Amino acid sequence: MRTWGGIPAAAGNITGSMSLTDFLGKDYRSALGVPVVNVPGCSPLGDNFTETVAAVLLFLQNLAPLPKFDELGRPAWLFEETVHRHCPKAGYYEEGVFAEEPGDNQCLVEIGCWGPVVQCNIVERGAINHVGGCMVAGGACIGCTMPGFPDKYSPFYKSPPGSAISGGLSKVYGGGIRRLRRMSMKTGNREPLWDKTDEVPSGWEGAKDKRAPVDKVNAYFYKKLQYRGSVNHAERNKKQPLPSSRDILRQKGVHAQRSTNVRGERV
Amino acid sequence: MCFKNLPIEFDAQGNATLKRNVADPYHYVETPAPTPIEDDPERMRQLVERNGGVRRVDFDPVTRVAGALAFHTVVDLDQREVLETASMATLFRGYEVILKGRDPRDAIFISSRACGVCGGVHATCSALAVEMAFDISPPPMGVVARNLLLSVEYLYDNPIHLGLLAGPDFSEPAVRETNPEIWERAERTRAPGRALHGYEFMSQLMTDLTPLTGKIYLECLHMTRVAREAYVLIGGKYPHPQTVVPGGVSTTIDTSDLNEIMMRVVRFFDYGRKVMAIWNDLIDFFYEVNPKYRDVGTRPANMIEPGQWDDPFAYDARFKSADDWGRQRWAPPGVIVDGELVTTSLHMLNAGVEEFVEHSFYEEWTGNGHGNDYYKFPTDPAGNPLSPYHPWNKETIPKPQGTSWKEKYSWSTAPRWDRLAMETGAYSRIWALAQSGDKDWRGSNYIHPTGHSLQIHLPKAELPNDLIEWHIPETWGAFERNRARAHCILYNAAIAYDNLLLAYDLLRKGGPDAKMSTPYKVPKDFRMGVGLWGAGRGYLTHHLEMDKGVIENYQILTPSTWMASPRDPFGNPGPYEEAVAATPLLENYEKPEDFKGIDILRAIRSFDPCMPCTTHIHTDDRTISREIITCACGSEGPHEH
Ligand code: SF4
Ligand code: SF4
Repeated sequence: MRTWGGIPAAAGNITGSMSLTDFLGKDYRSALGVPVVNVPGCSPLGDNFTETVAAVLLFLQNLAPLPKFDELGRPAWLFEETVHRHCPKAGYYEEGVFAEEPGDNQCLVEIGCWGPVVQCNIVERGAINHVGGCMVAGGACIGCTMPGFPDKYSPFYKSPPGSAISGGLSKVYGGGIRRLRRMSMKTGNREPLWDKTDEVPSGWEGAKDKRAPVDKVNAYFYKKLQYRGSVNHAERNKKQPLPSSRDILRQKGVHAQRSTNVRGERV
Repeated sequence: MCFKNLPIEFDAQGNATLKRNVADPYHYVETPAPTPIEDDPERMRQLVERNGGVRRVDFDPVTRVAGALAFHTVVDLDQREVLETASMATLFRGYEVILKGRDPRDAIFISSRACGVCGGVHATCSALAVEMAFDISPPPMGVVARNLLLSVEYLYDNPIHLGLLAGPDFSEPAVRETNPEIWERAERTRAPGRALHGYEFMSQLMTDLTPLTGKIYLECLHMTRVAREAYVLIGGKYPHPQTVVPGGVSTTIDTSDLNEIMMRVVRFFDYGRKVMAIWNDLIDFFYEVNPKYRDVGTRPANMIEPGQWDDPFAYDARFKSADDWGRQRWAPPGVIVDGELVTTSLHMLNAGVEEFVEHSFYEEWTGNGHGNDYYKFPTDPAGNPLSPYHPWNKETIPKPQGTSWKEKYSWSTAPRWDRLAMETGAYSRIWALAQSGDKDWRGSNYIHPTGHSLQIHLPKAELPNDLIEWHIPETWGAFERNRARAHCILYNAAIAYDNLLLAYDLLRKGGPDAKMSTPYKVPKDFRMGVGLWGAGRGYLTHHLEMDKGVIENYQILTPSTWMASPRDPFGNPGPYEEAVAATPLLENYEKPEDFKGIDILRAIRSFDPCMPCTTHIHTDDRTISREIITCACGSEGPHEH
């Protein structure tokens, strides 16, 4: 089921392999009167295939709407989107952060991912039972669902030329956006109570009690904008009294050096 | 001295050299194949006169491993024996031709597509060949990730063969139809392994082997999905993983990935014990009913095992040190001749391989072994002699023509080691390991080779911990192939577990060892490489030559090529042919029309020929077709075509 001829039909093919569409041509109609239906992939996802068959059968039984097929006979509801749009690494792409070598966690475009221009649904559907999927596991897309596969997507592991432009732009734009977001996260990563007491009661290393003045100013203006025209929770939180049982162990004079239970008893 | 037939001798230091003073060392004189019975009217007449039971029976299954597979036999139904066999690979797809002239980086994803059942192994095998040519090796974590991929691939592969392909031949409908007396006895016989599989009588067990409805069949389907989930967690998809790259893998592995895999792998410690008990009971029961079942599919225990699952700290992707890293593999390499391990050296294993095309639809490329002075590689990169018929010297020149049993009848070549026909599979892995019993083998926390058996210490899952043992059998045949394969589920699970623990440890330590891949540049000078690895059905090698950044020659040698091979020029049949020819027909039939060929099918299927589509059996007067996935042998009766 290499829908489009795939590898047997790639450059150097001496067996005359081709896709069913090429073989049967424009005028082919099945017993049900439809041209060739293509569920692409190398190999196609089992669930895509079964779902396509089920969709047709349900329609024929008057139980479901007419399934849509695109101009190449692909089930449109499965293949109209690019795999990039649903990729778990799409956020990295947007912020302009890219994997430099295989095994890095970020967007794989620079190590050969063609996802932005490939119609495939594996990252939403998973490879089996909703588990896996190429980019989910760190594999760059090589366009195996596309009629141009493999020759129009090789050599593999080399970044697609188009990505130099779009990836480069996203580095510039995404880099800026990323910094702004990190700023918001500094605010959002704190309970209002901690802002008020200037203390983060975490036993873990690295927690910062006080905010830098610039973060305070940023947060102030950000919240102003955020609550405008609605309720200002920043103000409400300021008025909230400190809870009396806050930091209960210290109130009872117990410190981390001694191991205790919650009632302050030694254990 | 591992070679008896090749012109290779060893000097005092144990280095292999060509025998001196032999003019054309690899030259041979072809032994003509016997004249096929149907081309010999006189013999045919005699046979038919003697009894009326001589029939041509053709099995035409479609496999997904080495293209389509068909099988031709002539049987004597009166004498209950097989007179003639021929194994045919009926399809040519030309991966080797398509890979020629490409960027070597394409080889991994393209060669993966050589098989739709076990593509993952091709991807890795190809990566090994590419890495040897590029002179890079993956960091330990990259090797461990590939080991995990392989072991969970087998956790899918072995059960699917036992439950979906071999199992139906032992199910209630098949047994009732072909040997009703055995079924009656099964109804009275208690199953010794009840504590593990839960069946009181053998008949109940057989009922649950029934395709589509049987509990064993359905559980097997379910468990193969569990193993596949574990696979795609790091492979992305299956059968063609998207994460294998030159120099390692592109997967990002974190603790949750390992936990998710662990959760799935441990289930196979219980499931594997159940499958093992089912097959032990089935096999022992059939032997008890009729000891002749030992001879179904029998042939000499000649096996070849390239080894697989690399030691992450030993593997350096270099050919010169292949003997050292090879021996440290979880499945070390080995060649077994007549049941004895004759070598564990990857160099000797590689040097002994030749491919012959006398009965295949290809053209000879050497001029019959003449002119050893001018063929491309008289030695391998470590200086060992190579035959002109070796894959590194081979050229694929397809030559389609009509089928003739005497001349050419297959798209499979005839690979031989030391000019002997070899089988390979789950069993060659454990056989070679059991006998190597290598004291220096760092191998596994759970697996212990004794020299004559393999012990596996199973950690506690839902069942308590346990020690199971597989013994090298005395008679090698179809039933023992299945028994060994059933034990391999536990063997694979133990290796997966070993590698999971290693992966956790590498993650814990961090640093360069925990990296997934090694950077590389495509070299522009001449390079060669070989991937020696395993597939579900056994032996797999990819031999590669490249120059100026382009592939010059790419040769894939698969397990089914070894086993489905046609005759060789020395007059020896291929393993399927040999095994079927030795099979007694124990089926219960009164009239020739009732003949279902169940014993022949059991013999071929024990090799796991991977034919998940359709089997057509066709006799002189009719064709019987049966869907081997969805129905048991004959249970729906023959269809006239
Ligand atoms: S990995 Fe590929 S599909 Fe995913 S975001 Fe990057 S470019 Fe797009
Ligand atoms: S390689 Fe690309 S097209 Fe193929 S399954 Fe993966 S994401 Fe989809």
